[in-house]
Amino acid sequence: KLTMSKNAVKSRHRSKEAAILKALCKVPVDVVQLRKFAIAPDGLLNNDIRRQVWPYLLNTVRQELDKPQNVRSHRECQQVLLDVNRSGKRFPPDLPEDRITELQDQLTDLILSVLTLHPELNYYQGYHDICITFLLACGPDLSLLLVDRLSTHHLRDFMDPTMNSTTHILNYLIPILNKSNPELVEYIAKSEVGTTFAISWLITWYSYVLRNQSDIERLYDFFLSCNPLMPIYFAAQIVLLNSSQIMTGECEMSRVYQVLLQSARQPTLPLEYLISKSSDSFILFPPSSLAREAAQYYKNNLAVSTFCDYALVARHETPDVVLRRRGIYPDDKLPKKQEAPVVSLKQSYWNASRTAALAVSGAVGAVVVAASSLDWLPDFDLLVLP
Amino acid sequence: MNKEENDNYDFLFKIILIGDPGVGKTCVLQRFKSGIWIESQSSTIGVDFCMKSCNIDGKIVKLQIWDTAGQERFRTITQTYYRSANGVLCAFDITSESSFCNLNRWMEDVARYCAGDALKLLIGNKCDKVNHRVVTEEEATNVATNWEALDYVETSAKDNTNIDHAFMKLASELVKKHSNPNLQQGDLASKGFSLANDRKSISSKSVCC
Repeated sequence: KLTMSKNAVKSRHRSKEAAILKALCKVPVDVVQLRKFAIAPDGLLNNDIRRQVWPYLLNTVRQELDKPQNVRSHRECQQVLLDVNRSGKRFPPDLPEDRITELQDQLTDLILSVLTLHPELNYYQGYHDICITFLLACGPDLSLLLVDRLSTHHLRDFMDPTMNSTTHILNYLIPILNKSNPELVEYIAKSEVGTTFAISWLITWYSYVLRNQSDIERLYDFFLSCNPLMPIYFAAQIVLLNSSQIMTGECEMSRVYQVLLQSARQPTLPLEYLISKSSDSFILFPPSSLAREAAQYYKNNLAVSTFCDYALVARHETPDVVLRRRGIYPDDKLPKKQEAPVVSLKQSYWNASRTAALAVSGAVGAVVVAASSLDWLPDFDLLVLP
Repeated sequence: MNKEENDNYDFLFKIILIGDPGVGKTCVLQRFKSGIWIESQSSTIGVDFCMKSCNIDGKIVKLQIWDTAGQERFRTITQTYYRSANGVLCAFDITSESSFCNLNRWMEDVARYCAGDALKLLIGNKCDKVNHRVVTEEEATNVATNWEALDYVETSAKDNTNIDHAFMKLASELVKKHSNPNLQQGDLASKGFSLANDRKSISSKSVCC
């Protein structure tokens, strides 16, 4: 019986693979379909397919990057080396030592290249974990294109000079949980555990806590196809899955922290279930609905944060294009040379994702609709999408 | 969490482990907690946590140890864990001048965010690498004295040198301090219980009951 089901899985994968290749051969390539495949059970199946599809998900196809020179003179080089040299555990255990050294060399260059290309981006511990995933799945050259794009979009907020934006994003966890299990939220609030336990999940896209590279890659299929806030929806599902364990025992900070911290490290984490639940909750409670709730909450409790918090969501829909236009970054920190083409590429990227039929990946416009009904917002201009 | 960790204890103390990236904070903690040493311990992201019970003069002392990321940008996050800490373990690497120089900044953070009565211990890790030493024991001892730390302890997580000693030193001083009935009232007042409504985890049971 087991063999039967194994064969059934194999044949399902074969037909999915054929369908993915077919979508890749269409002119123009059917990106919407590719996103669906990446989100659906088992994702993109293997790294041969990922190498072909991920560039479409990130819209880096036919892009070229000039590899920057002298990357090892970057100011963050020491910190990067420190983290890279300690990353041995992330590589397959059967790799020979010299191969690991070679990969770690490539990893250092990959990270420093992106940082050199984008002086406005700041390195954080954990970024290297994300880069390892790409390096192992796609090799150094393709990884540079992909990580470059990812860093200026999905990971952009984590790479601010401070972690304020990251903390704000973490705060979205609570309203998402509240939609599904208010009792749990009350318990978590009472324990005063905060949301720090999830920071390593969020900023490494779970590569810090999942044990298998193949699980991490499958999860990346999902995240690469979705709104940049999806990792926080995923965090909420992990917490919800463990709610009974969280709420069993003394409502005390360290115990709850420990349970939460460990909840993503379980070897039997049901990835596909969590992915499907995250997608559902994203559709049911899109960021716009949470932003309004969060904003309402802050409005009543802490007037100062209303604007910042809402602006954060808007930024996610229109990444640093808006910030550039608004002049939030000092001019001297912008990579001037590439500015014009970069902006137009990004616009086409976001237009492409906005036309995606999937609610999960394409619910981008919703924020604008929600925004227009928020009369308290002091600066409207921020919300106008390019 | 196993049962032993949950059950009875006489004292419960919260300890934060801080210091520059790569000085070996997590390795020191792993050695203390599990007796093992991992050659390539990955960088800590955010704040990790572990518990260890030990026996001090017949009392069961439970230590909650918060292991923090060393990179500068994580400080705003880790600082929130300072305020309820009973003890601080601040680590540097005796083969790294910069990790020693940066102690100033860590000590400033402790002064700013910890309770005034938190006990402090300075750790110089990687003392197995004698040939690469750039910080002398005397220099480090001076820093510890000026900082009003309990002590300066040189450790090696790799060789298992002084690891237990460092934690035990801090734990036994905490027990001593919290066993003195004259101090207890002061402790409670100085903590101000700003964090919790009905929190009873920090400090000793005898205080709470």
